[in-house]
Amino acid sequence: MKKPGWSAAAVHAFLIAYSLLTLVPFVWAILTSLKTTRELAEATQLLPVAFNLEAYRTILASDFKTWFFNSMFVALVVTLLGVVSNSLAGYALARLRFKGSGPVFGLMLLMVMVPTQVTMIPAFLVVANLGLADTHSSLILTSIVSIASIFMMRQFFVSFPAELEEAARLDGCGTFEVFVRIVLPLAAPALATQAIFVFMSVWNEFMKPLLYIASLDKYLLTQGLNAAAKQYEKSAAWNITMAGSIISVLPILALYIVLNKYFIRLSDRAGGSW
Amino acid sequence: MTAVALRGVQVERGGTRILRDVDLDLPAGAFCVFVGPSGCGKSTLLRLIAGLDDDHEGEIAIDGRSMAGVPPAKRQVAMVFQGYALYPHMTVRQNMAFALRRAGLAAADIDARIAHAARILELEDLLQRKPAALSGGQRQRVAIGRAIVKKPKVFLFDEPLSNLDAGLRVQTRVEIAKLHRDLGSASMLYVTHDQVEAMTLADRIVLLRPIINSPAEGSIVQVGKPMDLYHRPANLFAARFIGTPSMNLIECRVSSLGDEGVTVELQDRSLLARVSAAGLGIGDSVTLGVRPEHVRVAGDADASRRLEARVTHIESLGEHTLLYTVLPGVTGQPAMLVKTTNECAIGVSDRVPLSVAPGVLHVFDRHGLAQARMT
Repeated sequence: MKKPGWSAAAVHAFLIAYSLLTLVPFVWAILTSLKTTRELAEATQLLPVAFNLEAYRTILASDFKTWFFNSMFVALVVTLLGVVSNSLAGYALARLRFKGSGPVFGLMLLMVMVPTQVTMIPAFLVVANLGLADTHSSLILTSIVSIASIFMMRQFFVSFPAELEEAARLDGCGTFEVFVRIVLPLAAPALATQAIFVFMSVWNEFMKPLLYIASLDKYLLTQGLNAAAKQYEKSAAWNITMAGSIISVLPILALYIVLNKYFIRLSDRAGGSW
Repeated sequence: MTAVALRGVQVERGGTRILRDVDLDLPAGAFCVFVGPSGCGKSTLLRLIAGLDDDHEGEIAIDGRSMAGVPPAKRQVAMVFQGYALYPHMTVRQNMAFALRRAGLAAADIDARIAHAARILELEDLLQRKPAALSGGQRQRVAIGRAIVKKPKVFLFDEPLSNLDAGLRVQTRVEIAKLHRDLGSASMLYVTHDQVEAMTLADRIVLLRPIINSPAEGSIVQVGKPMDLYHRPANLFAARFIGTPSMNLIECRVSSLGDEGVTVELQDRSLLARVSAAGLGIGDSVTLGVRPEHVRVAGDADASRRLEARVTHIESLGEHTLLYTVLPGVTGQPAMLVKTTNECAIGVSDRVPLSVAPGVLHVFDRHGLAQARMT
């Protein structure tokens, strides 16, 4: 086997340096969260003197827990419903022959080009008119349908071997059974990828909860952290803000670790081998 | 008893006609092979019979029952796909049991059928494996097993050997033929573009042609036993398609007609072909056909029937030798391929005498249709 040359080594060195660079803010946030407010004010040392968990205790004693569970509830419900509905829509657009499937798909792609900011206020007015303002339902209902997810699933199903579906039809399955018994079990990588993306987008959503939710006890985490940061900013308690940020990242990390093997399998399968 | 009957079946997609005027009666228990070049609609025909496609005109009946509006699972057919189409997330046993469970069979019956099929196909040790852990040949056997357990009226094979390597293809071909014998009454429809598979497996061959460029002709060229198609090709298409290497075809003119056959002029010699003279006249332009294995090198003592050829290329294949020759003195210097078993000391550019017996010559009229052979 040919030994990797200098160019490969240079590429690796660049990628390693880039990876380390992207880690800097995370490491900085972790270190900050473990310092006391006094250490932060003095700003003489990079590393915390003692690994102080006071900031974590403080943030967990606040409304943070409520916001965390609010975010978790909304993100999980949207992920669950979104994965089901986006997959069904993707399958329909990929496989079912119905009148207008082409224009429907075209319209969906067109809608991707409309900036979210343009539709944000009209969407809020619709939600408000339905009496859903300041409810988690408003966030859930407006987040279930994801055109990016539908498009991703459609592309996955288009490349799914039609022979398998035909074999299932000969074995006595109708369209829905083919989807549930044959296609879905084999779509785990695509479903896992979609779940990660949907969960992340809802978990990190900031503008929408800011617009839709007014009550403090219904805040989502991003909203709550923003409010808390403003509050702690006055006393320069960056350690508490960073502790909150670190905890907020954990669910996404956990989800990625759990679904990672499927995620990788999907990228392997890009070559079309089944 | 007819297993599958097709009446006036036609398919047109996107303004292109794919199948035209398909009328067929496939007898129960027979091994029928649909063969033809790419684009002739043979797989389409199989899919129509399976019910996977239904965009056709005409009628399809299986076991005497019209299949109009009948879903694939209710047609009593089982299909073996080119790419095996095994469910990757199920074991071999689950793959074989899937259709039976859907049909609501009792567990004991399912187990018995799987055990029987596994024994026939030597799959007993593989039942707990998933398809990814099987070789290509094993997957194909599982695909066949999945068809057997359904006890269908008609087995449908869609180019099932094309993904296997050459050695395994021959072995599986033999196994499929044996399976047909063992299963007794099962009817099998088999699609292939490989005429060797067609010749070796079929009781009956259905030869199809692409019809895109022929606005009037039907899709079916000829239906018959393999040796009928070999010895009595109905037209030039069948003559070219059946037989490896394919038949030599040379344009020439009729010089005389008689009770003993048709005589044509070639290289100033008169060659008698023992075919019917019906519809032909003296001076008519015809195509003379002779299979490479029927041409003899200096085989005939009668110099008046001997052709003279110039060798352009030689391929020695061990059991036989292929001589690529041309016929000088004939317009266009037509090629004549000779398949000989002789270990002959012939070199490229040599001139060799060739002879053909009257009984092995074919004559096709100006429309490309064969004159009936007398022998």
